[in-house]
Parts: sequence; C-alpha cells; structure tokens
Amino acid sequence: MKHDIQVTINGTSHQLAVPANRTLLELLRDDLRLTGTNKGCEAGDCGACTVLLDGDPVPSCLVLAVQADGCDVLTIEGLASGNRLHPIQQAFVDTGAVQCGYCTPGMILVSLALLRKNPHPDEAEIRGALSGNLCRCTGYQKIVQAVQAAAKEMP
Amino acid sequence: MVLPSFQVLIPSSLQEALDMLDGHPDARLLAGGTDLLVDLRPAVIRSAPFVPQGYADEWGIGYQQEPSGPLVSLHGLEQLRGLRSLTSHVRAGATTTVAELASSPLLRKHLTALAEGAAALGTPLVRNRGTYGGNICNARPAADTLVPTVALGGTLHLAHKNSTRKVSVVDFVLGPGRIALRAGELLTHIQLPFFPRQGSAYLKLGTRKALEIAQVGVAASVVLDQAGRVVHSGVALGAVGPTPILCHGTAESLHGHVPDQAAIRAASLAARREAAPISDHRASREYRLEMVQLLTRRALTRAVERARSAAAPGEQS
Repeated sequence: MKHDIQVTINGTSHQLAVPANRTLLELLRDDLRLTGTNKGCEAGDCGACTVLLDGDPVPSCLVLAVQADGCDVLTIEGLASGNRLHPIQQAFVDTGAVQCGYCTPGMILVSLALLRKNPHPDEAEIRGALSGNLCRCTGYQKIVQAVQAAAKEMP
Repeated sequence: MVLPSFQVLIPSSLQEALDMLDGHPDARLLAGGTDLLVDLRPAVIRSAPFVPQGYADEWGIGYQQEPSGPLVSLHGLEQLRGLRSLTSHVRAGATTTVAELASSPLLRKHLTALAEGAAALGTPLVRNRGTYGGNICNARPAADTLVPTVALGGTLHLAHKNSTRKVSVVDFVLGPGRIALRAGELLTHIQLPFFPRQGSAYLKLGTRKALEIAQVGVAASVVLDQAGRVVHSGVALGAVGPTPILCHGTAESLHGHVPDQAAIRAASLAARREAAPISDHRASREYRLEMVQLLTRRALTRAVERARSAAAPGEQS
C-alpha cells in the first residue's frame, strides 16, 4: 500500500505516493534523483545522508518518507543560487575542506543549521555540532576552519 | 539495502492510536526510528547478531525479531510531544526529542542530570530524531536518558484503549530490551518530580565524545533540607547490570547526613557494592567497579554543589 504525502523539498512542494518502507533518503536519491544526499552507513552513524528536516539536521536514512509528510526538507541541492555557491559551500572550497567529498553535503548542512542558531560559534561548538558526521579524509581541521570562515562571511 | 516491507499505520489522535494498538496486538511503535529502523534492516553479512561472550547467557538479551505486525507511527500526535512544567514536577511527552531534553532550560535548572544524559546520547543528528520515550522503552542498560530517569524517580504514564496506569521506571524496565509494557499499551508521558534545594548530575564514561555507548554511566540526585542535610537522594548506575541499577544502599548511607566528602565517599563505596557489571568488549568488570565508585563520588559532589546553589539566598546550605 502506498501513502500520499506532501513534502516541500528545497522550496518546491511535491505530492508523492510512497511505499511504507521507503526512507526519506531513498525518496530523495532514487525517486527525485537528488543524489547530493549521500548514502553511507544506513544506521545513523555517519551523517553522509544528513538533510535539514524543518530546519534540524537529521539522518535521512532513519526517517521514513511517510514521517516527512507535511515537512520542509532542505538538501545540498537547495543551497546554491544558480552558479553562485552558498557562503558555506564557498568556504569549504576555499579552505580545502573537501577531499573525496562524500561527507561534504552533510557537513555543510549541519554547519548551516549551526550558524543559523549560533552565528558566532567557538571551535568547541563547531566540533560538537559536527560530531555526528564522519570524514575519513581531512582530519576535520580544514572543515572546522571552513565553518569559521563561513561564519565571518554570512550576514 | 531496502527495508523489509511492512505496513505503517498513522494515527491522528491518541485514541485512534490506542484503537489501532488494540486491533493489532503484534504492532510495534515507531517514534524517532533511530533504533527501530536500524533493527529492521536485514543483516548484510552476519547470520546471527554479534553477542559478546557471556552476554547472552547472563542477561538473556532480547534482540529484535522480524516484524510481523504493522508499525504504528506516532509522528502525527502532537500531544505526545514537549515538556511542561507543573508546580512540583515536569511532564515530558514520550515523543519529545532527545535534543529538546538536552537544550531545555527547564531541565537544565531543575533536573540537570536528565539534560546532561540527553546531551551525551548518540550524535546531534540522532538526538534530533530519537525520542525520550523510545530511549526508555528500548531499555538498554546504558541508555543515557533512562539512567537519569531512574535516579530522578520518574513515573511512566501508560495508556490503553480503555484505561491508563502509572508505573515507576524502576518497575518498568525488566532487562535488556525488556519492559513491562502490555499489549495494546502506549507510553504517553514521563513525570519527573522536582524539589527545592535539589541538584543532580549525570556522568558518562566512554572512549569517544560522540556516538558512544557508556562503559559506565552514573546519575545522582540530591535533595537537601534547610539545614543542608540529605532528605532524599537517588543514584542510578548504567551499563553495570542488565538494567540501570537504583542504589538503595547509597540512598540509605546519605539519608539525614550533611553530604561532606566523607559521606560522599561512603555513599560511593555503597554504590560499588550494588553494581553487577560483566566484562565485555567495552570494559572489564574490575574496571567498571572502580569507575562506578569514582563516578558516583564525582556525580554526587556535583549534585550536592548544585543543590546548595539552588538553595534560596539567605538560607543555610
């Protein structure tokens, strides 16, 4: 049996019919082809599938699509304006915080949620906010620097 | 890896949820999904769950089975969510997220141990989805909101189609993953009493700062009278037994005494005697016993400091 849901994704409202066992991650990647949200551990451990659900970062692998009915979802595709990167994206590029890139969408969305709540976080607050997102390339230092740089750039 | 197929029922009111549970005795409740959806995923490589040596035998751990009945998702029930302050207690809805517990000024002030436990659970992402009621009902011995709830004397409110009942959290948790929830019942909210001149703290020992399961967790709560003597206390130990352990000996040892260093040391030794840890891949029995004593001393010290500073100005503390 399919469920009818309404989800706003990156500002666009979608009416969708989804099976009960469809995760939000699968809905984004497989049905809507929004493949910027990466599939990692599928157990809520790695943060690669992070999206903002009503403004809060969540592991989309552990959200059923039916649970997102009526919600507002922001994925990495919703950040840039045309060819102009979001200040956090630009800061990640400029700082060298992107290596393989697998964790990057999740890292950037968590950073966005952090900076919206706390525009001037200290290093411990940044590391705390990012503690649910694993990166096996960078050693995190450049990522923390990128968030610090973005905090200065953002209005 | 696609989840196995199942049916999801989505009630729009508490009564509808209770009717659904009544009609489907094999239904399972879906709140934040951070445990249930992980458990539902088919094993990729393992043919059987990994069980640390000695674990299954001693504690009879109850692993999740294949789903047979439908999932009843609670995401539409607003009345199950949020914290409310009443005159002498806090009422926490079962689907209040762990993040809400961690950031609540109300809990930080009156029931600090629970806010600290919530802040220590999982990762920020998991805390945004995982719920208080879910953490209690999964009944893991190390659960970071369950252990403070035991120390703080939480009462669980359970609803059934035709009735409601209250049960102490201590009586509710029977073993790892085993709870006294009857078929058709739903945990609606948790009631936590608070008192003037109360202080509490939760300390978690682990090797990482995030996504850690405690090697030992200790929650301590102390209520002082106007003369600064202990009138009520609760110390709960996590990850050192099949359920969180409420230390009766510790409470007895503190009762009526001014909690100075000597009294706290004696109470910590009492806590060590009540712990029943096993050795597993996270820590040995001997190490855990040492840490129970140390963390109890630190948690009690912190709780007493907080109780004293919670005393009204001009009061003796």
